[in-house]
Amino acid sequence: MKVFHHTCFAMGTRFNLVIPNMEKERGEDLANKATRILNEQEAIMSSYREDSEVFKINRYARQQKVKLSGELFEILKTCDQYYKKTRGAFDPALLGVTSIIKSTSNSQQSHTDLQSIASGWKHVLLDTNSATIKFTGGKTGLDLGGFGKGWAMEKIITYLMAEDIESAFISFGESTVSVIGEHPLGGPWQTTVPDIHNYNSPLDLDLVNESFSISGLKIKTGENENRKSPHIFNSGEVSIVKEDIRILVKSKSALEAEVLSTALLAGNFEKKNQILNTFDEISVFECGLKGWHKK
Amino acid sequence: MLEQNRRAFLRNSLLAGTAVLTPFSLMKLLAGEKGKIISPNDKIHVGIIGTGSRGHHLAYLIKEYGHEIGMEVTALCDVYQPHLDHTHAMIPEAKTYKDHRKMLEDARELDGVIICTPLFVHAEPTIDALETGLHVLCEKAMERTLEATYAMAEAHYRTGKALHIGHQRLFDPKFLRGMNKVYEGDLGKVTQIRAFWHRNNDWRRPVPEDQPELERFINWRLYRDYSCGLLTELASHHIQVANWVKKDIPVDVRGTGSISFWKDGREVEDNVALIFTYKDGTQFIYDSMIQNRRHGLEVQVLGHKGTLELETNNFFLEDPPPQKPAGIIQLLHDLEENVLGKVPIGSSSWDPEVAMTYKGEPIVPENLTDGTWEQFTGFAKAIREDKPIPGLFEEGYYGSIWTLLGQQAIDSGKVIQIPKKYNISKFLM
Ligand SMILES: NC(=O)c1ccc[n+]([C@@H]2O[C@H](COP(=O)([O-])OP(=O)(O)OC[C@H]3O[C@@H](n4cnc5c(N)ncnc54)[C@H](O)[C@@H]3O)[C@@H](O)[C@H]2O)c1
Repeated sequence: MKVFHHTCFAMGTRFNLVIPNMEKERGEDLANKATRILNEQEAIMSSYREDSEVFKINRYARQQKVKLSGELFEILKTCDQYYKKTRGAFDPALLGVTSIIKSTSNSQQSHTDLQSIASGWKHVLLDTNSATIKFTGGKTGLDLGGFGKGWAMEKIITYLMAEDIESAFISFGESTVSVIGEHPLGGPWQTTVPDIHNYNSPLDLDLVNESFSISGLKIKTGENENRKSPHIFNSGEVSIVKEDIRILVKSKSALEAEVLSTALLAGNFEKKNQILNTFDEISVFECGLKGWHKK
Repeated sequence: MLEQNRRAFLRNSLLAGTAVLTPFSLMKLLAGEKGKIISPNDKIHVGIIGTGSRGHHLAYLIKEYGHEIGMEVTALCDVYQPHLDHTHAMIPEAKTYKDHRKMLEDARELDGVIICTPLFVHAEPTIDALETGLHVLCEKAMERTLEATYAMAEAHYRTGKALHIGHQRLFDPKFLRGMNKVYEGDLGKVTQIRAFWHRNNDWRRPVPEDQPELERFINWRLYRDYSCGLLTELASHHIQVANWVKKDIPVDVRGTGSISFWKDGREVEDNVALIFTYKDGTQFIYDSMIQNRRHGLEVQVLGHKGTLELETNNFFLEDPPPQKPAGIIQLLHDLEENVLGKVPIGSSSWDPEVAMTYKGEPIVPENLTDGTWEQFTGFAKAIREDKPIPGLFEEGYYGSIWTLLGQQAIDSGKVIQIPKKYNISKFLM
């Protein structure tokens, strides 16, 4: 069959869109629009780009209330809901902590040091009446890294479905993957994810109108040996992830998959279970030293 | 173009003539000559003047690979018997001479000469050979002085015989393809070129213990009367490349240099730094030293869309295209073949959160040659067709002239421009 493929660099990763049974010309129109959506979202949510809305908020919201655009207001209200629903395991305002960790040469800072940093969503005042934001903690800063790709993916899916696309495969840096409809030859789209420790037992996942998102920390990885982020934070709590683990969350919602895969990486067992119980229709898989297992 | 317009165009363009030397035409030339069947009657006979280190090496290349282009070394000339004997032992069938004029008296037996004498001994044998009606390949840089360099140009245009200068990068596939990338806009607007050549040795050749009087004869490149050291012997190559990138010659050059490490009686600098400026504001920044080899040699062409690192055969885009992950490639393949397969996500080494590292891409698939051999292909073609390759000589000429002007800038501490009289566009009318 004829297949249309588009790839571009967006939101810090490579974006791939595959649409079966699609002519090049129409495919390109769709891909252009999808790229524009990605660029718009990046222009709002990036915490690196100096011209992004989030960047400006991170610069000014410590001193004053900052007015939010309609889109970012929606984003932050959604973040607030997930923050509450995950009891703080998902925290979109930890920029300050992550940058401290990245800049210190040894990551052996004590827990108490790190825990005392005034950072995180609890130090954010989101005023829903005036649609403004203000930070009350000195190290608070928005970091939508564990949210943005899911949010943008939802937008792309909504757009493509409005364009009557019945079947598509979409990947964001291979960490967030979504499919529309069934495989063009019938049945689910079949994917397989490697087991990072034992390459012989991959996880096979079937998807129909679903998404999955993977989060993980590499503690010892050849080329990136010197990456130093064995700490994971949520709501000011520090967890140290000692193992090289991956969390994969499958869901009807790309956003939910993305949010939860990050949130579930940290936190103790009990807390993870509490989180799981508040979400329906998700499947969670963890890959640790013993390979993949379902939670 | 109307003839009048063409002349006006040539008059106005300082680097007139170079306009026709496209990398594409040289690539085509090399491809066209490759594998040609050459009849035994179509042998090209060349003589080598100067059988020192370079002359011996070139003689060796022709002896080994000359059959590919129908070229043979039939005459050798050197004033220094040990060097002449050394190369003669490799090619015993060649006639030997101690005086190049004697060799040229037998010019009927030759089609071309290759000149590998020291810098200050380039003009005399070159001009003599051209006037004898022979085509010449002369090593770079052209000569020690501007006047001698110009005299060689004058003889080339007057006789109509080919004069190739040994800037072999002009025939190096990675430079040719790289230049094509520049001209086709793959790098965007080029506003800076950087090049350097670093070694770590005293750059001396051994002198026979019982003949200390040969010091200046053997180590000619260390003495000002004979050479401009790092500039004429090394920098000349990259100066030619910078002009080639810009399709122009500089407006001026400034520089500095010193003998700061090898204080052993030499007269040429052991470290130099130069900045050439082009009329569109581009700078060519060059430096060379012989007391540290960490960075080796490189030419970097910097445009707003990409970078060439020519010596090491690399091209980097400012915004690298995203690569297709293996899983997507497999998915596309399966769909095209109507196969329902599993999409493999990631790989054993994959790390979803880490940004990709981009290592650039090679300019040519394999970096196998530096163009030294390929330049003989060009020389053979010029000899067979009995005419120069258009635009080639001008590259060597301005590469050599601006090398000498760079030395002037260092010596005088001034910003140096090219004196009008060394403009050769008048010959191209
Ligand atoms: N293109 C390149 O990459 C490259 C590399 C090395 C050398 N070169 C060039 O080759 C030339 C020679 O360099 P080299 O390293 O071989 O030097 P060299 O000193 O080893 O050889 C020069 C030879 O010329 C001979 N000679 C001197 N005066 C002569 C005369 N009047 N008639 C005949 N022979 C004479 C000397 O006896 C000597 O054998 C230089 O111009 C140098 O820049 C080019």
